[in-house]
Amino acid sequence: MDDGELLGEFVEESREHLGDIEMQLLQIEALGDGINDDLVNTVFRAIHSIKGAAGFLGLTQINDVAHRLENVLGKIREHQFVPDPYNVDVMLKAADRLRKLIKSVATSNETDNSELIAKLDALLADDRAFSPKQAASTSSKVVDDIAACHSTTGEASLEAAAETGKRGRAKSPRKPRKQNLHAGTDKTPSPKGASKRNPTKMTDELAIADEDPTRRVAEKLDEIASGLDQERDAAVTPAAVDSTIKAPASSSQSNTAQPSAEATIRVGVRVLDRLMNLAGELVLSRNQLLRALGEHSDRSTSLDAIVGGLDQVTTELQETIMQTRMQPIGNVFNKFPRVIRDLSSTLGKQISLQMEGNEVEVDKTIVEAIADPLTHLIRNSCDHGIETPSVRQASGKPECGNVLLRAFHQAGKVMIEITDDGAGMDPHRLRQKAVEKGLYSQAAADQLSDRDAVNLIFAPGFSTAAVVTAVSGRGVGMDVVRTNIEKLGGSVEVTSVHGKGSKISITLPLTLAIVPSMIVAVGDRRYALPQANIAELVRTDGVEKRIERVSSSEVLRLRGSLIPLVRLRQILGMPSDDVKDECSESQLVVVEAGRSRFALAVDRVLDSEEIVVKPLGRHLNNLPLLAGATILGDGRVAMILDAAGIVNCVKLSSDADRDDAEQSVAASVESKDDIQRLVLMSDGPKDHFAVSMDIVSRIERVPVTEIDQVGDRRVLKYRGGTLQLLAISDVVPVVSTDETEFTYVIVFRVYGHEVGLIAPHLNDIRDCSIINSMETCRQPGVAGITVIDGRSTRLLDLYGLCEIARPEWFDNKKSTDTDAQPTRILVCEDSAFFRNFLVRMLVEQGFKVTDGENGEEGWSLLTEHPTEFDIVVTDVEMPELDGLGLTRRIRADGRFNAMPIIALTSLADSDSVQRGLEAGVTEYQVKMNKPELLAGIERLTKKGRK
Amino acid sequence: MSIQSNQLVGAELAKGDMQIVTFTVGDISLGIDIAFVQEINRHMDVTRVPGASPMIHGVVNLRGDVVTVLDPHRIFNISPKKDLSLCRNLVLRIEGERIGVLVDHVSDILTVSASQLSRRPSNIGAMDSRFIESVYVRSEEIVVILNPLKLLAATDLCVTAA
Repeated sequence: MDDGELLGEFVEESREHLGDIEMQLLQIEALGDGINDDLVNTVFRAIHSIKGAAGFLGLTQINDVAHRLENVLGKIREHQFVPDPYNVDVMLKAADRLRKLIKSVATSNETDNSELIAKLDALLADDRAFSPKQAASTSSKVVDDIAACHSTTGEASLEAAAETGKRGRAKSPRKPRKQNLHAGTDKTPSPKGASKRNPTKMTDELAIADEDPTRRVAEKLDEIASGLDQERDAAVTPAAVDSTIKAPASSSQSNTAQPSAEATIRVGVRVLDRLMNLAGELVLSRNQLLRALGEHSDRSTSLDAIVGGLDQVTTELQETIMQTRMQPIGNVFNKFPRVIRDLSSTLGKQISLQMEGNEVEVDKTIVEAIADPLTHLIRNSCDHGIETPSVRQASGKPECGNVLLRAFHQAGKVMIEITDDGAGMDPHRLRQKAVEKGLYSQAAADQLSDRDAVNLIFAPGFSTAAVVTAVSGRGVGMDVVRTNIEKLGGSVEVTSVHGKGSKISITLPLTLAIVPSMIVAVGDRRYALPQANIAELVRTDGVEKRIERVSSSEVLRLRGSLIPLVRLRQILGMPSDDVKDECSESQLVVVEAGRSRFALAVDRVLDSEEIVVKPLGRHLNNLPLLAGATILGDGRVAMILDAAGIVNCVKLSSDADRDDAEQSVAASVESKDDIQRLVLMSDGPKDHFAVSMDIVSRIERVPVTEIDQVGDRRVLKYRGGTLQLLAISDVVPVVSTDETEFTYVIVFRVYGHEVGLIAPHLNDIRDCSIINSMETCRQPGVAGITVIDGRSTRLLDLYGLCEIARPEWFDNKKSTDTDAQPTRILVCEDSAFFRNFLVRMLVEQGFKVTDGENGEEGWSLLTEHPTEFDIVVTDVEMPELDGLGLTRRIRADGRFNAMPIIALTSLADSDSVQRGLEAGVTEYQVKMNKPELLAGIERLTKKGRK
Repeated sequence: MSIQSNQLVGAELAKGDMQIVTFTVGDISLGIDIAFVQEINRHMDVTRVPGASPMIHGVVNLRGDVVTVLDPHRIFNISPKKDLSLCRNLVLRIEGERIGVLVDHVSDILTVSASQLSRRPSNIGAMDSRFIESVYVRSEEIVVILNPLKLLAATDLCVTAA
């Protein structure tokens, strides 16, 4: 070992020592005066061995810094010093400095660290000044301790140390070299000298020192021991194999305090990379062999067995090598507590970080590459997301903000989520900003959904904070973050609830080197499509799954949702095949890329193969549709398709519910408000109906024979009275009504009358999305038409139905509304369907209605015309500002003290009612209960007018 | 970096003898300094790259590496041959990257001295004079010596333009 190697070893080892120190120091800080001895010892030992080795190598600056840090740690270890945020800060800085010095070890001696050293020294001095009581109370005990220590343990360990030194020397076959080393390391006392000199020196020091002497003794002993350690290590030569093995093992044990039973060795990353490449080649060769053999049908069974064995071994080899490259994501996560801690103090915020899934393993290259983007995102969450304590308090949140960093495996990928409970993002402001920055036209920005709008933060040159801070800079980083993550084959997106917080989700592949893929063909060209992007394979059979045209684009109908269709031939610019009819049978691959989903039409789907990604030359680096190339089993190169690139290329909107072509079920689930619990029923095979469950009192099943026809009405003899019945066919045109033995009666109340709706078949009661209902199909008694389970279903308006069937119930109701001054109503509802329904219904009743899409809009309408509304009818769950938020604002404004507010909801459980009332809601009502709403409006506005 | 390499080539030329690999593209005789040539292969299975510059013929599998193949026909604006079976792939190593050049026929390896090379004529017809290093006159034939670095740079430009 020459000096260079020794230095290299030192750097390597010191890095290991410093690797966990941040976490440990933070833990020490968190524990405060409840000092964990093991923990402190671990840190102490780490710093101690750095100090020792640095001294030995003549790295004076590193030695100095480490020495001072060690002093402080020593004092903590002796419980003479309570770690607090301030002094841990200095310690962290010292650890940082050490890392920096070790990074550029060659020039470390030329650096000036006196300021830091002074700070560290000041810590000890301060401590003495600030806690004289402690020192006084312990002093007598300490004196005893020193005596004991000095007389017994001290001497004993010195002797032991000297003994080790002798042995070390005896083993060393190269005395001259060792002396040579000594010459360069005058800082480290030679063991002999130390054992002779130090006891006396120590006694002297003890006599004058009124600072903790025990620590001093311990420190000196350790110093000596470390000197011996160095001696021993230096004395070891390659020839002394056994001791070489022992030395690193024992040192690593003592330093990390984690008994590592498993034998580990250090292997250069280059070697692993090479191994990885070779394994990749082997996989290719195996694939080629399998293919070649596949062409010979007459091969012998013995050959089969051999090939099978090779196949298995190759797979295992590949997996094992992959494992060597796997690292826990915690390696990256561990640095974040420090980042958060520093940020909290810089920003004057209180932030606590929780981490989950530290153990999740990811390919080394990914772990490395994700560190910077993650740091940026976390900083961003702290800076832009979490509010200052006062703001948080004002909005009813705990002062301390939370950031949750979570990693987990999902469907063969690694997901990392950063969730904060901060201010969230305001889609309106982002849209506005996008226009201001000239990224979008006003019209285009308005078209953006809220989800797309919050993801604007990843657009180049976007900054969301009103004040640009040093922490997250100008937001230029966010697009770089996205680019970097996408380079890794991952994706990133953000979801945010304004006022409640944001969640950034990162999806990453487990590894970059080998990608399980599907080989698809167009004409005679073959392409690889990563399986991670493939949701399913579909063959159009012309019946259930059909390719349809919506204006100029093609869509695939798949299980009730519409997926945009992309023809690979077309986007690759290949001449279209004349032989094949455009809409004829094609093999379709449903591809997912981030949020987008599309069906890719290819000629054939060939095979799945584990492909090894090969880099493309620089001329082909930035092709939009391709993610790289691979070599297939037959030795030919195939291009790897980039699903995200295809999405960009055909400009698919990632927002399903804005896109006419798409009506993905998953997307519509997002909008909670459009989910209604529906009773699904049918009169006959062609007539499907749905009724909102909220207004149904109960459902009964009765034999048809119990229904009596009285004149043109039907009634059910029922609990001693009669229940008036309505058949849908009385009001709404129906193709045919099945004759059944039993029928269902859906009972509901309207203006105090109990009515039963006859439904021959009751199909289901469940939550359905009615987002795609077409209001144009509205007719008396029908609120709209929607598609449920692929069937056109009419959504019944039970009140409208009754109004037609029993007009006499409504006569007197209408007349009361013909006041001279119509009641003026402000309606806030985000769902277009309910909004239009409400507005239409209220206008029909003679009210003057103004509507807003959300609370924010409602609020501005209200504040612009403060005297023009008599009552507010608002939905509860809305984006931007929800109904309760709106209510609170209204109540907080003196002008609207008496404003009646009716909150409408589909979830009227007692909890939410309670919350509503607390917020200041006057009445809480279930959606689509027309009579109740009308009665409520009447009641409240009269009260209001008085 | 490319300037450095240019100077290097210049120095070699001045030193005296150099070896050039000569080949034809269409009816033009071309040559490239053998120092840049790694190997000459039969025309291999080329995979087309959708979206790439037209100057790029495609990619091939060169013992496990994916290597870009340029089509000089396109670069020199010569209509490409229909039958590619006799073509050769001249694999160059330029600045650490391997690049193939699809040529119609590899003719010879010549050893020439610097004095035998003339400066490129100012009116070199079909070819873009940017790529031309010098000209070697050999009996009745004129061999145009290409500068591979400039050839590559031109392709780069084309890619970014596309």
